[in-house]
Amino acid sequence: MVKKQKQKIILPPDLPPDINEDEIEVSDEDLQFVNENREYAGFVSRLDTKSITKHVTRVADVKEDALEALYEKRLKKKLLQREQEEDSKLQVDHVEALPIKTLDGQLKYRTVTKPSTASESGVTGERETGGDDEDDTAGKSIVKLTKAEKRAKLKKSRKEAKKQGKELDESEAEQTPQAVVLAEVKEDLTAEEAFENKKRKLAELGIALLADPESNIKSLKEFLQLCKDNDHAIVKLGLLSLLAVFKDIIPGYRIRLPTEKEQEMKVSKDVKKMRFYESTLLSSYKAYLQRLTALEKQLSFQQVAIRCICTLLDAVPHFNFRESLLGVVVRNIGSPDDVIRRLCCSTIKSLFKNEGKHGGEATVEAVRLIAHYVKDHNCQWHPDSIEVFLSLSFDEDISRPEKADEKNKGKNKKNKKRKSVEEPSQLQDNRRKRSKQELTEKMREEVNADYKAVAFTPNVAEQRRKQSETLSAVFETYFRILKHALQSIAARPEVDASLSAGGSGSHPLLAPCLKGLGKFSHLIDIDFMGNLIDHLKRLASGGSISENNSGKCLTSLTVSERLQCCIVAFKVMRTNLDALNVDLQQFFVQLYNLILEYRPGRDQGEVLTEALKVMLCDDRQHDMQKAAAFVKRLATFSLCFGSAESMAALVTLKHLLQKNIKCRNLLENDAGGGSVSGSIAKYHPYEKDSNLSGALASVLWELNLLSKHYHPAISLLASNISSMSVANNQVYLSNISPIQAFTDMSLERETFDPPSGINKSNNKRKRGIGSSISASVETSGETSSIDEDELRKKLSAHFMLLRDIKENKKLRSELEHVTSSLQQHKEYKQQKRKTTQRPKSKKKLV
Amino acid sequence: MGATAVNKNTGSKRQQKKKQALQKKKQNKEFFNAKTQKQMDLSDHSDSSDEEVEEYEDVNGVQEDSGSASDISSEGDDPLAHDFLQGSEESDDEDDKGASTQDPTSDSCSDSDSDESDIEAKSKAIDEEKKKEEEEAVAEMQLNIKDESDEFRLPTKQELEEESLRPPDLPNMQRRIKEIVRVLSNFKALRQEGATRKEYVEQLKRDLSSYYGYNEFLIGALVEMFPIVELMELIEAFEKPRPICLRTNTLKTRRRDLADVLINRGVNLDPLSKWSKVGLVVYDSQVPIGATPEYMAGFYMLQSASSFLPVMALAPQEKERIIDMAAAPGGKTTYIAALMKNSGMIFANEMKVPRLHSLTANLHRMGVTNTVVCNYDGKELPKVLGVNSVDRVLLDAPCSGTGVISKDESVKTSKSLEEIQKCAHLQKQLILAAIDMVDANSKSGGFIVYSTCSIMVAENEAVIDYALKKRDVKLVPCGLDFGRPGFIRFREQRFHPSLEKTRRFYPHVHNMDGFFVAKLKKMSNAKPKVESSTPSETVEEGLELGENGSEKDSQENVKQHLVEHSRKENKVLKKDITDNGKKESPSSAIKNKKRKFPSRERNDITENGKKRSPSSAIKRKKRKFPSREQIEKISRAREEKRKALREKKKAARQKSGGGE
Amino acid sequence: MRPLDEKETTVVLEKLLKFTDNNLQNIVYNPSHEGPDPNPGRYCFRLHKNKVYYVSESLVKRATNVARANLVSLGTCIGKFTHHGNFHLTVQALTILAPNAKHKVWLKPTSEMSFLYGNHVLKGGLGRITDAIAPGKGVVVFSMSDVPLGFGIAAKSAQDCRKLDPNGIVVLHQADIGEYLRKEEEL
Repeated sequence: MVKKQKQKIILPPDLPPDINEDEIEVSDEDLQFVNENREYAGFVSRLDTKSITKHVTRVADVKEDALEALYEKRLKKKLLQREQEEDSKLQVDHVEALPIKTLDGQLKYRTVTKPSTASESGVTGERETGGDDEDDTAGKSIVKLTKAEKRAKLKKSRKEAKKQGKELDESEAEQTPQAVVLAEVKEDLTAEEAFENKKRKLAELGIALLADPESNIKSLKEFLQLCKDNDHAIVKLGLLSLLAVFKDIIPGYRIRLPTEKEQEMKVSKDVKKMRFYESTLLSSYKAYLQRLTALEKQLSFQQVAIRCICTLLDAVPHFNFRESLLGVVVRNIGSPDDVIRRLCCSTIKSLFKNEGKHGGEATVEAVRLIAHYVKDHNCQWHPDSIEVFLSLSFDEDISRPEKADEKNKGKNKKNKKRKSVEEPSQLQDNRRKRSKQELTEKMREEVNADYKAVAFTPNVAEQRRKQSETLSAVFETYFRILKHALQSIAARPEVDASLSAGGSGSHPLLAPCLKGLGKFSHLIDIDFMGNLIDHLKRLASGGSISENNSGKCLTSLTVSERLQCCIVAFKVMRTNLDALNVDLQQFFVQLYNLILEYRPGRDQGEVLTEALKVMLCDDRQHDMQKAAAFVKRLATFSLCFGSAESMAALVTLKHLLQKNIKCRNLLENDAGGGSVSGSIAKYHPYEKDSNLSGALASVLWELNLLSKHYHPAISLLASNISSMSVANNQVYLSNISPIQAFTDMSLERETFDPPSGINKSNNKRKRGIGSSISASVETSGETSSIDEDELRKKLSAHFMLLRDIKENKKLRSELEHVTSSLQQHKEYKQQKRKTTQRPKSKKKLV
Repeated sequence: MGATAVNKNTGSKRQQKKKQALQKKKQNKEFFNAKTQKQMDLSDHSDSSDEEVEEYEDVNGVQEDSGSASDISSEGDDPLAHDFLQGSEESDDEDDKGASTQDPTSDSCSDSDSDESDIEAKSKAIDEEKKKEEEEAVAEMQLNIKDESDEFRLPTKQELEEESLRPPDLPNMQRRIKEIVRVLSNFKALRQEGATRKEYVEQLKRDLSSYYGYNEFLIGALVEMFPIVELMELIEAFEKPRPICLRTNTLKTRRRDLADVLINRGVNLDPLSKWSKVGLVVYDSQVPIGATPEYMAGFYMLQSASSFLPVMALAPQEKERIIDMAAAPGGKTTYIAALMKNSGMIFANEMKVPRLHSLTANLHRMGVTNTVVCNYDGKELPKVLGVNSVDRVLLDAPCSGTGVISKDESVKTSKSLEEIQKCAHLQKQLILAAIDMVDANSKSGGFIVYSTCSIMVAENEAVIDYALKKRDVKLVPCGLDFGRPGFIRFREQRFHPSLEKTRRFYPHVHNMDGFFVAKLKKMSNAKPKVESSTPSETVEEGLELGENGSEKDSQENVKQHLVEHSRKENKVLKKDITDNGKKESPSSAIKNKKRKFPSRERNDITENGKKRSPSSAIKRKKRKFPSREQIEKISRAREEKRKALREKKKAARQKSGGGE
Repeated sequence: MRPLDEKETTVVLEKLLKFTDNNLQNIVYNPSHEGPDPNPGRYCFRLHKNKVYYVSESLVKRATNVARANLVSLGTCIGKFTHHGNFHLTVQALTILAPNAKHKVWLKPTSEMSFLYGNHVLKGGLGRITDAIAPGKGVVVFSMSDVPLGFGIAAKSAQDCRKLDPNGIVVLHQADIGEYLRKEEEL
């Protein structure tokens, strides 16, 4: 119980990085303190093991603990310096949780917390992720230890002890008398102590390294040794703290190991020192990475390893061995384990986002790797792995070739000039000078490189190359996915609709891929365009372009996916072929049919509305037949679905009618004589091709129904539209997009309580008022009756639309018993505009 | 102009004679009584004379000349006398002139008869001569004065002679036309003493025909059909073209949309009047209205407003079988197809091969797909397409085109009585064919619409009347709320009263080409052999009259090329002949007959013999004339006819002579 | 007037297929709305005086009693066979091509007239173009206000058109409604 609470409390205090600074300076003095009286530490550590002996210090400690504890408990408000103390307190408590090592914990705290801002973060991270299983392991180590293990532990501990002993010896000049006691006690060190020691060891090493890397760079090796430990916990701790260390000490440039030539040539002392330092750092880093990758394979360590790798990759993408890091990360980018996957993805994303750190190479490699993996996994991978691409950022003016080219040329010229200037000088100089020259050259280049790496001004040509590579890799991936999706469809066209209904069935990557295509559509090369569009078309048609004639086309793609395809195609076209206005007939046809297949529950309406917006509203102009067909279908559609969808549909419809005036004669009962639809004399509601539906021969009688829709906004819009033909269109140019409308309505949908209820109440109230009600009721009644029989006329005129008519029947029955109340509801509203829907609708419509 | 110039100088020359002219006035009086009653005959005489000028020339050419000469001078002199002569005397003066032209001959000859060698007498005669001359001078002077007055005076035949010699003086002629119209419009007040309405009309006809370039036949026909004032409007209307008119092809677009597009192209147009939902009137346009992309795309058809009417009358329904018997150039056919929304089917027949191209081209251009175009003579169609096989037939019959003179000037001169008759005959055959093809018991249809772009009664009402008698059809309203009702009675012709259901359209009234539309409903498929059940009394009479004439004509017809006429047509044809013989100037008839058909001359002569006698006779006598001429006609055998003519001529002269 | 034989039918249908990919079935199988019968049946192709007509069957039934010599045309004439057995679509075919066209091109108003005088469609005059146009496909030419102006053969694919210079030929002229005026006699 208590422990639990404590632990809970513990989580927060993992020191946030910002506190580090002051912490660190504090840590220095404490460090000295610790260093000078280590014996205390050792002594106390030993003492505490004899928990029975009452030692002054201990008592005092306890006391002060208690006092502090009380103190803390008393005042919950903390100032900033207090905070740290409180941390310590908590730490203490935490350690108390393991009863024996109270003081130890305290001590450890004293020693460790200072250095290990990072390691702590590592620990915290560990807690976040695998905290529980770590505890389990710990618990195991504590609770059930078989003899063998004990013995093994003993040996190990002894070894440790010796080592430690040595250290101590060298460190401690003179021994206190208690040393004897200490010595004899040494034998029965328990595994816990060994554990503690190791921990401490880690801590110390860490501190040392952080204190000054140059001097004790060698201790990295020990660190690595520790990481090889069998004790999982230790290993983890080791890895994490090592991670922290590396993060801290790795320089902001890429280390280039000196060539033999450089080796042999003698250099100044500090340079040599530097080189040594770098080489050791590099080697140990390499070792560390190897260890990590090795561990990453084992399940128990996986998370830790991945975490380390990710953090490293995130922190020092510019440093050596990035490839291996990337390799691991990307491999796990689509791993089934959510935690790991999320980690990797976020890492990659951040990698993409701030290219400054690594000047883009990392991006290219990452993308290439991902592409590679997608290929290997045959597109059966986790969507996130592709969604990563979305966080890629390409800046336009660079990707624009001609500009970049000239820049590039200019640069080359400069380079050449410089070279040409230097060549002769080099030639005539003697070798010593030359060597110096070379050195200076190298130096300069390195400096340049570093400068570039630091100040994010990479030369344009480079960037362009990288970008183009990245792009090509990305699109290669996308196209592969598309192709695969197509094949999967082609493979089994007889997939039953259930699968298609059940979300992304066989091609998980399609959705993010489409998103990506949409995002980067403006960067696609024209040469790809052709078959890209072609693919999209095939996909949009559910791969059933060939067997159109076979009536109902079976598809393994969901409606929303197919809609996505259409949208993407349009985005691509719009962004690229704006010079030449291409009309994507096929996609319109698809949309035309998809509108019917749309099911409110199953498919997300956002996609549909977006499609409506992109394809119908944004497009410049349509040919009359198509527009009319869509107008008709949208009207039908808006009869069949919820307020949100129908709202969106109506808005689109209005857009269409405003755009092409010729379709207005759908609003009139007779088109001034014969039908304009030429050879298609009458409306074929089931026609697949929007151009052949001959919708111009029909009439938008749906609006009449919709004008009595239970939702006031819709009814208003409907009546508004139906009056459009007579009024001039300039007046209500609606500037609301279908998407907007949809979202508004769908938000509103929750809040919107069926007005019938309201009306009832209104009626009641009105009845209460009395006099006016009778008249209003009559009027409403007769109006409704009129509407009915004209309705009946139109129905008889259009009985071909069976399912519409079913809809209408339902709607009408509803209307009949709601109309009267609705009327009054309207009046009521007009009287007092406080109601929520009113202003909204107003805004929409005017 | 020449004439007036003469008047001027002569007038000035005559100025000083005024005084003596004044003192001699009393002497005029004595002539007055003697000449009053003569005046009638004179006038008649002059009429008849200028009707058949050729006869007169040989008889008394000399005095003609003198008279004409005096006429000219007198005409020239008139203006000055005006002020101090009141209206009563003008007639006298004219009489004087007339006398002066006539007397010398009579007196001289009488004198010469009585005694040759009486010098006193001679001297007296000479004196008289002198005196007369002076009087003439005075008369002329007075005439000069009078002629300037606003009162209008018919020119005499001599003047006409002169005119015919001189190049036509248009302004003068126009002035005269206006005057005559004015006079006729208010005859009682403005008539010139002793001049009959007929004289005015004849003069008017002459002037119109020469001024507007009609031939006498046509002008005569028009005069018969319209009151003078309206006639003038009509003729004026014929002079100026009708507005360009186009029909929206509702198979492809709507009128509003089309109008928008064309207006954007810079065409200035308006909707045609309220009776059409598809018509547009084009006032002017930057672009050639017949070559716009919309035209090529078949959005509209250029066709005259009048050609809408028969289709609107036909009112085709969807899914019907319809025949357009004379389809080219397809304006009406495409309209029908549009009304049927390309459903059902249309047989578009056109006889003239060269016109087939434009027909098919238009059909395709307008996107008409329900049409079968065939090339037959309309008369054979029943045999080809089957009897009682279709719902409606549109017969826009080939006609004389007298309604579309504004389109084609040649009609003014080219048409003649024969052509009208030929057209009428063909039209009668066609309408029978049309009726035969319609299925009387079709649910939706059973209608025939007959239309012509002619305004001739013979091509319209007469044809319908004929159809009414020959087939079991009845006239139904055309469904056109405007237009003039057709003639029920025309001169002595009497048509079935239901003919008022037919519609006539005139340029000056409806601002569209002259047009005739009749809509028939076929009651039964049986072809009745008997005449229409209740022939009205008048018709009876008209028939008899025809019957009597018929044998004679039928024999003549052998000579003419009208062999194929059936008796009925003969009758009607006869009627035409007689009536235009009766009403219009026989002289015109003679003239052009003479030119073309010598063989028919005598026949006409007889007629105008008949005609002349009634005309010269006094009004009340006229009633009896038909009976008498019947008797004559029947009694006379054919070979005697020539003799009869001569006698009649003599008799006529004796009558005129004996009047004195 | 006689129905087409195998060879002729294939020739004609192939020509049509170039313009209307799978809409050809609409042309062939759609029920006709001409004809007085309650169910007028379908459309059919008839050869009459080496012209091919696209007619409702019921019209054909009734047209049979018109003598061959006197039959001028029926339904829609869609093209004519040359003496060598080649088949050419004529302008009138536009009536059935336009609604069923798969590949369309819209002309700017400025370039309408030049096309109506029989010129090819240049890229400069291109207002809009459907995607998926391959060279050799039949293209129906519309005005910006969707008035069918004629048809032709695509010279370039929609993608290539983008690279094309303004007066490169996009569609090769075959027929245009201007011919109704220009050569009324041939039709």
